[in-house]
Amino acid sequence: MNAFQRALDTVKILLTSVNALARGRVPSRDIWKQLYEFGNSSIGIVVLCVTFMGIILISEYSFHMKLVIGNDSMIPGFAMILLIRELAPIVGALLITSKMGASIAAELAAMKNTEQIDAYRLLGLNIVELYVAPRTLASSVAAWSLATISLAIAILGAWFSAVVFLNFSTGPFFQSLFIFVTAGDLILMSIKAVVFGCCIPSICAHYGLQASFGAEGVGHATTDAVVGTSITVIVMDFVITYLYAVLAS
Amino acid sequence: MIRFENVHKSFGPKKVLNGLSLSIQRGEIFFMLGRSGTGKSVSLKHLVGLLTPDSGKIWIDDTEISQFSENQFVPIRKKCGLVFQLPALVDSRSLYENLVLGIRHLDAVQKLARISATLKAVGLESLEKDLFERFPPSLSYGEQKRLALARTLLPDPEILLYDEPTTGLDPTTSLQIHDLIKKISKDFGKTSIVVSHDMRNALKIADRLAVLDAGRVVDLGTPEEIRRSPVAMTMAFMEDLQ
Amino acid sequence: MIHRLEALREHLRFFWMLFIRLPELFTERREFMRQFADVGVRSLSTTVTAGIFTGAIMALQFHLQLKDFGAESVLGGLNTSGTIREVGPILIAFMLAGKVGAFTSAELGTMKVTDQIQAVRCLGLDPISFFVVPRFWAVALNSILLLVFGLVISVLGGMIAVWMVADINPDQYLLMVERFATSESIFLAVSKSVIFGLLMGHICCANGYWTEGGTQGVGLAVKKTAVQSMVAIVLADFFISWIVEIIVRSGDFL
Repeated sequence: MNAFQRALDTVKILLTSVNALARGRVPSRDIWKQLYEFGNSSIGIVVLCVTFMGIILISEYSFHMKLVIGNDSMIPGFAMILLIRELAPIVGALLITSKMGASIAAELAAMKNTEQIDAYRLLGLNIVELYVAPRTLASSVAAWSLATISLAIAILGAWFSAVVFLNFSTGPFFQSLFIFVTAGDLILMSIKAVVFGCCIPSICAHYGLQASFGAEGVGHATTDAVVGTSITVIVMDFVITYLYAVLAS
Repeated sequence: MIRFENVHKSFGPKKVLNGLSLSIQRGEIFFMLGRSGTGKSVSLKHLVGLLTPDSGKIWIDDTEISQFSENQFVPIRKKCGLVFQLPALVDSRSLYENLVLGIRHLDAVQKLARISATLKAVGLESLEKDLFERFPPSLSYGEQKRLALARTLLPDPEILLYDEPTTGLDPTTSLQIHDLIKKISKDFGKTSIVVSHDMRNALKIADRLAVLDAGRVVDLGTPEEIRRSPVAMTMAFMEDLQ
Repeated sequence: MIHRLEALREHLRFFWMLFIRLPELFTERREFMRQFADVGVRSLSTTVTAGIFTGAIMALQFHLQLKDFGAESVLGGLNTSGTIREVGPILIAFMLAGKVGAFTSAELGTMKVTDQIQAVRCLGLDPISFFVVPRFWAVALNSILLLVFGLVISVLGGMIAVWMVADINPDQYLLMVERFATSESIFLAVSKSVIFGLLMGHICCANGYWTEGGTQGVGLAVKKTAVQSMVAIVLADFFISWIVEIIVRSGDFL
């Protein structure tokens, strides 16, 4: 299967899911369950990773600003913008991919191996509507929530390390933040998070459903799902950033 | 020659071997039968040190191996070869590389000579010309099982252990494999211990059989004795044959 | 909590064992060379992709921010520095953890559940020497080299991106890169590459080798590898940055 065929299949899965969601064919019980799974499983790790990155960013920018401009009062704003626009949505998406995406691929691959998917088809049920649709919604919401929550905590973490280690005071820190961070940044972050989140289940489902037989098949499907999704996230991030850059110029 | 003496083994809360006692003579074909989960494969794995008993003793010839370390099992494994239930061939390596895993210490000429003879013995001469180019996934399941047997035979062990050699195979192939086990045992003077739930073929080729239930031996004897046995579990197996 | 500490101890033991078995690479030369080539070929395209896009994304972001400042002329310097020091190693390592790490743990996991590891033991070979040590070093060494390569590529990616969007002259860009990429930054980038490489090698081999539970176990191993690699990379990044900063700062005092 070449990349184009894969992309086509993935888009098909995504459209089927969205269609099912829009027509209310997905039981809300399933959606709530998936929302809980997605959010709950990754929240700790995402918060941890993004917070650490926030702290590193503050000290890195501090280093650079001093190098170039000699004054670091604008650092908090600058650093946090990178966090908001890039790191929070990406790290959240990649972690969701590793945890839940891998599970989706593995579960669907196992179902394919044990012929459950065919069994469902004979009963008139579509596995995409049943399995992927609730997860698509859950993933989009979770990606956005995780980005937002981890961002908030990361800002706190950055504030803490700035005040304690880098000789900042609280007032100027938050002032700088409010000066530089615009609503547009937050919207950009939200768009990215939602876009990434909604693609993850479809891509992983594609690989799971294409899995070949046995333990090897499950292994390959899971691995390819994680890799394919990660690369797609990065490329989409570039595209969105590029469009934003062009529009802003 | 091989002796289990009151061996106990549990995996967590599950007791798999519950006072297993058994002895197997040199040169005989010995079958261990029983329902799934009665400890048959587990007892085989003890003989090559993949598992250690919780209590009890195990002898191979005059050596007591129940407390042996991994290093101490190295010479035992040369003597005692295990053929796994799954072929367990290394998929990423060629057939040749799979076969020579146990005989790396020999030189190339010796290796090829032995391989040739062994492939003939297991009925896989047709593969000999493609050994370097073909890989395990390209073989049929039956061929893989035979190749796995060849691999175990190459280091020339005196004792062969077979873990469910015909589970999942059709009746015709099962018969072929059982005949192969018998031929190898008799022609090459090996001791064979076969774990199975195929009573029909067991009765055909075994010298003696043991029936296991709940982790211990409940019946033991020659095929004749087993056929006439009053023991409940044995009779249940015999009924399946009708 | 206790069982996490125990798990950590198992990991440390496993890592140490793999590390001191480096000499075994000479005995299992062919296997190692084969693994090294396999891993390298598999990960090259991922590295190039990750590198280019990471460099491009960072360059665009910095361009947007510096523009507001009027400090555009230093574009090329700051973003490259930031990319090779922080974001580059992390994102490229994330990608490699998926492509190579997940794949290797799936491979080892499959071998474990299909009894290949046990079969090899019964034939008198040490499965760790034969399967795991070569893979560990193949993954670790490849990752280190590829991370550095990816960072170099990211400079290219950044250069092309701002050339396309803001018409910034590549020569000017590269001049800035030279000016701002200090030797300390390069040292930081390389040390991170080394540590990330070793971590990725260890995590994928440990999870693969310890797989249990049939085909489901293999999927679980891949998941664990992907998640653990990401967390380990972020934490390691934090600590390395911190330590290097301390070293450099104390250098200032001397």
